Amino acid sequence: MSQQSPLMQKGEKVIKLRCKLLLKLLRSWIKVAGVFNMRKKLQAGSIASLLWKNKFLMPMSVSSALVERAIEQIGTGYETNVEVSRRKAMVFADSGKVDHEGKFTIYGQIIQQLNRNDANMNYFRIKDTDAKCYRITFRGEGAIDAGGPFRDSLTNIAQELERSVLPLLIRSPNNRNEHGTNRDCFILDSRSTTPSHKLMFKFFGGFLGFAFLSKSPMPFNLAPWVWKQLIQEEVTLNDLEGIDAYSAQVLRDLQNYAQMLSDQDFEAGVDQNFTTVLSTGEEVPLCDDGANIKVTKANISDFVAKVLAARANEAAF
Amino acid sequence: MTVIQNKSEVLDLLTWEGLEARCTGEKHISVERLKSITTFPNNDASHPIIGRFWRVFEAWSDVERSAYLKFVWGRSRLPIDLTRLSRKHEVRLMPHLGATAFPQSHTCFFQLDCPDYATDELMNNRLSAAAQLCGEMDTDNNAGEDLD
Repeated sequence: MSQQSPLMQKGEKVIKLRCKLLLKLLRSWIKVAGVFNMRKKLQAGSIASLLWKNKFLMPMSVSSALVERAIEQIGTGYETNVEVSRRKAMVFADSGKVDHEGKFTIYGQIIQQLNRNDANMNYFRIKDTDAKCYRITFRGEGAIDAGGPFRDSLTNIAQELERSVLPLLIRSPNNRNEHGTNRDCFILDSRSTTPSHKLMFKFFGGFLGFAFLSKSPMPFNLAPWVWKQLIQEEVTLNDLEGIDAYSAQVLRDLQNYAQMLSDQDFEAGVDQNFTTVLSTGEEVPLCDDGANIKVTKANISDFVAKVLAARANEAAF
Repeated sequence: MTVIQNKSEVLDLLTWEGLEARCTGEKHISVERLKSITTFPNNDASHPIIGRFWRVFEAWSDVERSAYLKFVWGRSRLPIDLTRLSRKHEVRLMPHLGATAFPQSHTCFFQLDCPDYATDELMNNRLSAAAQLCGEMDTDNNAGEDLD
């Protein structure tokens, strides 16, 4: 314990000065944050992109204050009514079927009515943690919704979404393989592309928006991969590792072989074509005729980039 | 992804961790955080039920704590910001319920009606059982008129 960090050795005066500077920087940041057009955040060299790339430096208290300020500008919505039969949903779930139409599960029953009541989803514009999007009646259960049944339905929805009865989320490969990090996490199911699926995804976004505005917790277990993509952040090989450690390892091994081995040895030892396996287990070509193009030392970086792009775009609907 | 994405500038200053915390709360249910919003209105601060409740709750895993929260509140996690809750957690001692009865909950009011359990074991047994088994609500009215 006798060792001091270099900063501590500089003494109290220096530390105080640095704290002051840091506070000053953060205050200026708050001031300028609203001024720059953040739509340019993906444009290289813009100030918006500089602020965006360094947002992790901003303490949570500061970013929360900015978020709250922005949320105040958004109009508040109003409550609507829905009626749900949880037994109908239970019978459907017990049948082993998947609710592709979004009509039979609790989630399906709720979103069909919400969609009919107001397709613009104003009921999701709720800012109080304990306010409701809808007043819910559980048919045959008899409970008057002063908040409890509504919250209960949110928990039900989150549970259904992570079960196979709804086709929106799947276990990440790490979750299925019980290998790597985030083993309890889910990602979007890229096979669900019909108009009914899209409606269900749209409402999934609506519920996330509601949770975001109100800070009412929806108990989803989404992989960091999904959250990053929701805020348009680029996903890297490290992020892939967080949903599919085996695939990330294969790519890293190939990169290592490319550095260690001669052209000939690489050619002899590596049997990989321009194809990859997606999170759904489906194998796809990475370019035209990919199944017949071999990965070589010369095109390895192109291969890695194409795999990452294919994975990042899996659910790009 | 684009269907559920919201390209609002509100999100531009948040990290993914910040976004997740806001939307989902924490998977880990902290005893200290729940304590900060809990009262025992029906009895004085020295009543053994208070210590008993927290000993039982602390011994639970996050999964069990989550099930308890769902039983008394409907939610299975605590929000990241506890200052805006309109109702705080109340554990009300109800000796008339009988010493070995199951507890009752009022999810709208975030309330537990708790019998005066004589031991930690009994309290743990009754509370966990109620939290694990209760998926439906049937106290405000009579259930069972609709079985489709």
